[in-house]
Amino acid sequence: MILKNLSIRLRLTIWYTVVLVVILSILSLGTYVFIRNRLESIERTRLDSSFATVETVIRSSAGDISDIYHLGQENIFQLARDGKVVYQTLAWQDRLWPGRPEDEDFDKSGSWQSPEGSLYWLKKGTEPVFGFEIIFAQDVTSTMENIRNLAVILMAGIPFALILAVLGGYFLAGRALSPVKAITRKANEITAESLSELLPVQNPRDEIGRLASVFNDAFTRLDSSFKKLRRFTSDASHELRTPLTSIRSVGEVALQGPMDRKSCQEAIGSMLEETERLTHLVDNLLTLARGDAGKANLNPRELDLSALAGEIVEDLSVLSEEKDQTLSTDFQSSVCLKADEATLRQAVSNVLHNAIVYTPKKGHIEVHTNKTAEGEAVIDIIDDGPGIPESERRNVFERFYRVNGAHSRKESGVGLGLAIARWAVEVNGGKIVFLDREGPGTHCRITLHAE
Amino acid sequence: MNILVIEDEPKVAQAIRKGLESEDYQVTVAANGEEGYFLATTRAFDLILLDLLLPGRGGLEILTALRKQKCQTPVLILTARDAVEDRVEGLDTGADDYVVKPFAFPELLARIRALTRRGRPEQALRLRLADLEIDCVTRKVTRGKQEIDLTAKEFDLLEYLIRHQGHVVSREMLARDVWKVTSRATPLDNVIDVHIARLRQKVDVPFKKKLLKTIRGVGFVLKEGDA
Repeated sequence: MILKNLSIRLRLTIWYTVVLVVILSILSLGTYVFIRNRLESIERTRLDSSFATVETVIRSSAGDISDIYHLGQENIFQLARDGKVVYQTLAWQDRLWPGRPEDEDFDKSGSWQSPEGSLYWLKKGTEPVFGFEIIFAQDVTSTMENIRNLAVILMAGIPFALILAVLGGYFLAGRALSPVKAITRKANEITAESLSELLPVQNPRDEIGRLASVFNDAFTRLDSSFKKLRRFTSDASHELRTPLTSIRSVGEVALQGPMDRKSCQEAIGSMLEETERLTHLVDNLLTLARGDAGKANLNPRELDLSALAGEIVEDLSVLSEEKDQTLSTDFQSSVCLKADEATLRQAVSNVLHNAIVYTPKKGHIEVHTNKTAEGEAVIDIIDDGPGIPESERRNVFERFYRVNGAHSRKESGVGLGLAIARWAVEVNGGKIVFLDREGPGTHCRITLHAE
Repeated sequence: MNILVIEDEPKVAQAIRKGLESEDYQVTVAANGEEGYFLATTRAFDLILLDLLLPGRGGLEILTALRKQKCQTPVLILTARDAVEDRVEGLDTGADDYVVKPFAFPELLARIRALTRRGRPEQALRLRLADLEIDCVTRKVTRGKQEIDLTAKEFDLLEYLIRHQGHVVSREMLARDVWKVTSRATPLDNVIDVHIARLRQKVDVPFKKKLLKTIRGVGFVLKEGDA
C-alpha cells in the first residue's frame, strides 16, 4: 500500500481530508435537496393559492368579471370562455405576449421559459360554476436562480473546504506529533555515552508521554547495564593485567640474572603459576559469559541436596581443618530436587569456599539443609567470620566485587565466585541471598524448588 | 612412535614438538589443513594431534575426510573453543579424545599415552615405585616394611599418582579424575594442595628417599630421583 510509505503526518492529513470531504458532500447534498424542496413547495403553494383567489373572485362576483382587475395587474393570468380570451392582466400582456406559451406547455410541464429567459410556472384550470378557463402564471425565475446559486455555492465550498482541511490537517497533525519530533531528536542525541540523559515528557499521562516514559525506563536500565559492563571490563582487564605483569617482570628479571638451573626453574615456575591463575580467570569468565548468553549446557536431573552438600563438605573440609575451624553439618535426610548437578555443586562449593576463606582460624562454620513446608529445598551456610555489612549484601554477587573495595589477592580467587554462584543458582530456578544474622558472621541461604 | 601435529600457530606447534620429542616421540608438524591432510593420507602415524581452527581446511573437515578414507589413526583434537557442543561434534566426527586450549602439557601427554596404549589397558592391581607399594584391592599401602594409613581420598590420590609415575599430573587432571569435578571454575586447587601436603607428610616425610615432588606451576610427580 502506498499510504504506508508516507509519514504519519501526511497520512493523518489525508485521512482528515477524506473524512471531511465525505461529511461535507453529504451535508451539502442534504442542504441542497432540503432547501430546493422547501422553496419549490412555497412557490407551488403560492401559485395554488393565487389560482384559488382568482376562482373565488369569479365565483363571489357571480360570473361578472368586470371587477377582476382589482386583483392587481402585477399578477399574471388570463381568463377565457368558450375559447375566447376575456381578460388578461397587464403583466400577462407585458410578459407573455407575444411569446405566449402554447397550450401543450401548460399540460405537459406546467412551466414555460420565455424567450427573455424568465421561467414561469403555469396552472391551468376551468372554474366549474361559470366555465371560465383560468391560466395563472407565476414568475419563479429568482427562486430558481437562488436554488442554482445555492448549488454553485455548495459545490464551490467543497474544494475550498478541502484546501482548508489539507492545510489545517497538516498543521494539526504536526502539532499533535510535535512531541514525537522532540523525542526523536533527543533520542538521536542519546548514545551509549549519554544514556543518562532522558527524553522530554510533556504529559506523562498521554499516549506519547507514556511512550517516552517507557523509553526512559529502557534507557535507564541500559545505562545501568552499560555502567556495569564498563566496570566489569575495567575490573576484568585489571585482573588480567596483574598476572600478565607478573609473568613479564619475572621473565625480564630472570633474563637479566644468572641463568643457572635453580633460578631458571624458579622463574619459569612462577610464570606458570601466574598462567594458571590466568587460565582460571578465563575459565570463570567463560562460565559466566556462557551463562549470560544462555548457552549453559544444563542437564537437570533428580538429586538429593543433602547428599550433594555432604560431598562438597567432605571435599572442602580439609581446608577448614587446616585453619582449625569447626565445620558442622545438619542435613535433613533426602531433600530431593531437580537441578543440574554440576552448576549446583559449583554454587554451593563457591559459597562454602568463601566461608572457609573469609572466616578466621578457629572459627565455626555450619551447613544445614532442609525441606520447608512450602516445598522448598533450602541450604544454609553460616559462619562466624567478619560478616558482610548490610549495605554490601546485594553487591557481593556482582562480578569482581570485593567487600570494602579491597582488591587484595591474599585470599585467593578473583572475585567471581559469588557471581558464578548466583548465576548457577538462578539458572536452576533458585534464589541466593545473604540473611541477617545475630552477632557477627554471614548467613548465606540458597533456596530451590524441592520435588 | 610417530605423531603428526596439525597446528597453525607456530609457537604452539614448536612447543608441542619439543615437548613430545623430549618424551621420545617422533614429531611431524603440518602448519595448515591441506599439508596435514596430505601427510596423514600418505604416511603412517600412530597418532594425529589436530587443531580445530585451521586456516583453509578446517580441522573437522580434515577429520571427516580422513575417517571417510577409512583412516583409523587415533585423533586427538586440540580446541580453543571451550564449548561442549564443539567437543561433542568433534567426537561424533570420529575424534578419539579432545584437549581444550590452553591445555597443561602433562595433560596432553597423559591423553596421548592413554590413546596410544588403547587396547591394552593397565589393569595391574598391585602398583609399586621404589619401596612404595600399594594394593588396589585391599587398599593397603606399604613403604619398606612399614604400613601407611591413608584416608580414602589420599589413597585415590596416591593410586592416580603411582599409575602416572614418572609423569607430571596437573591439578586439573586430579580434580577431574580423582575428585570427578568437571567444571574448571570450582575451587578445588587449595583442596588438592592440602591433600598432597598430607599425603607427603605420611608417605615421604618419615622416609629418607623422597618420591612425591611438586613441579611449581605445573603439578606433581611421583618418581625416584630428582624432579
